[in-house]
Amino acid sequence: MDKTAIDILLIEDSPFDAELTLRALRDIKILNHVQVLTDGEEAINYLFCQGEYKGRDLNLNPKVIFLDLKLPKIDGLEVLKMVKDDERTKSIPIVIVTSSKEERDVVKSYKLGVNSYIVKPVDSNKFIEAIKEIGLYWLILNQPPK
Amino acid sequence: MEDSLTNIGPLPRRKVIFTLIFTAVFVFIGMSIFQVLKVYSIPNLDLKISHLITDIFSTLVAVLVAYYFYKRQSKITRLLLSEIEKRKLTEESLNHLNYIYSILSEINQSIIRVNDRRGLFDQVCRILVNKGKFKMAWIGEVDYQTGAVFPVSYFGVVEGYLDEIKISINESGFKDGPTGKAILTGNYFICNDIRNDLRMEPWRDKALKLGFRSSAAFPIFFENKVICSLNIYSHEPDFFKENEIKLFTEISSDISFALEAISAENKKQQALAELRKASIYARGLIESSLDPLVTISHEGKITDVNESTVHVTGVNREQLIGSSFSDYFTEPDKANEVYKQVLKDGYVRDYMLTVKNTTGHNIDVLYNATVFKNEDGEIHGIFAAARDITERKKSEEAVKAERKRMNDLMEMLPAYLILLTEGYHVAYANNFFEERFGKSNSKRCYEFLFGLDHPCENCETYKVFKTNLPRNWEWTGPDKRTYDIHDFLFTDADGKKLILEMGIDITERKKAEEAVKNANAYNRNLLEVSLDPLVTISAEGKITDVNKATELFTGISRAELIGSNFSNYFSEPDKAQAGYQLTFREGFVHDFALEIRHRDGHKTPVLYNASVYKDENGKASGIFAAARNVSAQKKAEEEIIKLNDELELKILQRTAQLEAAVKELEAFSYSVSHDLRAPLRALDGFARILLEDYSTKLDDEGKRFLNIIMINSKKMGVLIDDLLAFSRLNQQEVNVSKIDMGAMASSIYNELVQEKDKTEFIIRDLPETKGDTSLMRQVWRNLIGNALKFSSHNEKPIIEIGGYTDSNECIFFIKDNGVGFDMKYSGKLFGVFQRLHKDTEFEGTGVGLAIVQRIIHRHGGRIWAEGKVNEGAEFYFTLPVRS
Repeated sequence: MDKTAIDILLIEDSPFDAELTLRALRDIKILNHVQVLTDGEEAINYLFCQGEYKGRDLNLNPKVIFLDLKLPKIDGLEVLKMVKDDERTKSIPIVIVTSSKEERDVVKSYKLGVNSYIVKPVDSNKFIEAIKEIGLYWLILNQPPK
Repeated sequence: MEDSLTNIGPLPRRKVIFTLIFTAVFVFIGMSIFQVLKVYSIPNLDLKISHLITDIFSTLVAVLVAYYFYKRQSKITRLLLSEIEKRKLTEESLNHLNYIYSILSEINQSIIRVNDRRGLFDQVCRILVNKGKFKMAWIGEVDYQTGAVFPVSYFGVVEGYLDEIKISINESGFKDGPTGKAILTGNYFICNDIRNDLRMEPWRDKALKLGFRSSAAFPIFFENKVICSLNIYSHEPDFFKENEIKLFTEISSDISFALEAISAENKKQQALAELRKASIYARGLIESSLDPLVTISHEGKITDVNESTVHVTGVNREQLIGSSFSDYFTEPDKANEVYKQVLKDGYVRDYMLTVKNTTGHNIDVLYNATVFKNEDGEIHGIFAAARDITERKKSEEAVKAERKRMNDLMEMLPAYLILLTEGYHVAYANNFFEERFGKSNSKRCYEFLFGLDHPCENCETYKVFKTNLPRNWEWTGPDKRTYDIHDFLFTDADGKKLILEMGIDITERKKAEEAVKNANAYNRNLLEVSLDPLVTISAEGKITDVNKATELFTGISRAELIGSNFSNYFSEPDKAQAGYQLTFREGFVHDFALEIRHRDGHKTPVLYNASVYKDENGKASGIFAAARNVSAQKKAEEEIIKLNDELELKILQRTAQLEAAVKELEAFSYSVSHDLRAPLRALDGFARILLEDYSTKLDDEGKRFLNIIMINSKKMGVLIDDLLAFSRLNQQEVNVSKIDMGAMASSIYNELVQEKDKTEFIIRDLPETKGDTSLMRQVWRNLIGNALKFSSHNEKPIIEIGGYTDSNECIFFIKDNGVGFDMKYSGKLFGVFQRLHKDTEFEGTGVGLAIVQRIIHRHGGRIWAEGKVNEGAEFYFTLPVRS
């Protein structure tokens, strides 16, 4: 297991979307510290240092979580809720990156405490640009809690 | 006129002598002077001497002549003087007489002037003393009762005499004096020597003291009786001689005459006064008479009127007198007749006329007129007295009216009124009776009514005479009508006993009563046959009447029901009680639900309609309640309720199903949008990566293939979005609000149009409508988007938007001058995924118009389009005008 703090925790079940995301992050040179998880359960285990990630240091939280909503096993909103409910992980900024434009998803996410909600553009170009912007914003511009 | 001699006074002797001598001497001197002068003027001395001798001679002659004449004259004078002397004496006696006569004349003058006794007496005494120079004069009246004579008037020296002496006709000594004697005998008495006359004894001293020397007493008569004496006292004794006596006799008789005259005058005055009083009294009576009185002359002119005449005519006295009598009547000719008749017959009685009053209120009068004659028996005029009969007329009219009224009453009475005698005759019958039964014509009642020859057996009417009490009974007359008869004993004005019978026709009334009875029976029948239980309830809640149905529903007999409590027969007695109390309060109840409880226990649900009925005074006297059996209805109601409940349940179920279905659809849409998009991104993304990373390794054809992949994946995305939008439409609610269509269209256009777009955009005034704002935006977005898209190939693209209101819809249109379409395919325009152009010409999924149509239809509007290939398209849609 990686003992160093990661910058971005990407929770995305589509390998294609993941690849595009990583490509975008590479373009802005923050590819180094990106962890990709592919389902909700894994995400929870990681964040709460349990299961296969039992040994992880809880204090070493990612600077930002990119969270997809449609995840196998545990749903994205569930993950969101669990992370935001727990004192230890509450303050981690979470950006939902999803293809769902549904109003109720948006509303629910914000109610659960999401920090940002991004709809994945269908156009891959636009998608890549968006990821770049998000990455730059949350890692460079935004001030995370220590 | 007196003698001129006596006029001149006695010539004194001396005077004559002196006058003569003076005359002679004067002549002498005169002549001498003349002579001297003459001599002096003669220058010749001789002549002078001759003249002188002549003169002396002539003078001597003159003197001699003078002396002769003087002697003669003195003889004459002596004669004259003695004549004068004589004359003087005569004169004196004449004077004396004069003096007496002047007294008389003055006294007579007084008599003429003075018209009261006392005044006359006073005057006489005064004149006698002042003018007559008597010492004293007095007149004394005698009182024959006492015999005393007391002075009434006196003048002159009375003090010491008249106030002290006593003269009487009775008392001796006192009655023998002149005064007494004069009175007693009626003759004059003289005492020419008071000093020596024995008769004056009682008074002598006093008289002498005052200088009375002679006295006289003359009786004064009045109405042949001596009433007083005139007594005169002179300072001269022996004064009263023949002439004096004559004088005083004259005086006293004049005085007597005067007294008579005075008396007569007084009588006359008295009579005149009496006459005047009588006259005034008579005039007063005339004036005060209420009847207008007039006197009319022969010619018919008014000669005198009284106040009433003035009043009744309204014309003043001055105008009336002298005017024609007939002028003041409404019928002057008739008035003229009055006085003509009077002149002919001597009188007229109760002649009716109407006096014209100036105010217009004419007065009816009756005239009584007579002629009046003067002393010679000639007709002097007519005296007419009018009696105002207006009041009388009024009361006569009133009586007439009263009588007429009574008569009319009797005649108009809608009942007959007859008076029957003991002998069965009809003494009086009113109109009604005669109309119904005819005139009795002196026949007896049983004769002309029934044609009988004897009284009716058991005649009800004539029982009155037996009982002396009024009777009331019903009678059916020969005219077959029923009468309500009232008989009374009636005593006529002359004391005869009669029966007064009044008959009221009650045939109609009886008919009506019969009808009412029948109606009542009929009504009762209806109540009894009614299937609804009917009751009447008293104010205390007790049943007062029931019908058959009530008996059946309660299972209790009528007799038991009546008088019992209404609420006893219900499953909820309190409710029943509340029901009828409510009725009393409100006046009625409608469909009041109760359950009648049968004796055997089973219940019948009913609805009560009850209302209060009032008595004549308007007071509530009870409730009439009708019950309607509603057991069948109740059952039906229950059925309905059951069905409703079932329906409710079904609805809930169905709703749940529907909701579930909707939910499913939503889930489907959700997954569609989510799951279908992801692969598209990968498609597009990796194709791009390939293009970017391996651009050197790909030829143009390879690059072209990759582009195709990317384009298609994009397209896929658009399709998915459109589909999603389309499906979501159905679930969305239409929230209606006012839309400014013009503003909306403009804003949508501005959103869609590119900067460098050269489209000419014309937007006209669009009517305001109501609709769902977001949905309408979608409509405009699609329509304007299409217009822009399909005219983008034009050199000068023009898009025009407009709208108008027509009856109950708003019609909007959008026109473009783009490629248009073939009307042949207009049916496909609004189909889902239907396109009329190739993708290579214009991109699009073919869902846009379908969406627009769906939206417009959901608003209740219509949409259609017209177009021509290459000449543009026109899209029209309507939205209903909602209130």
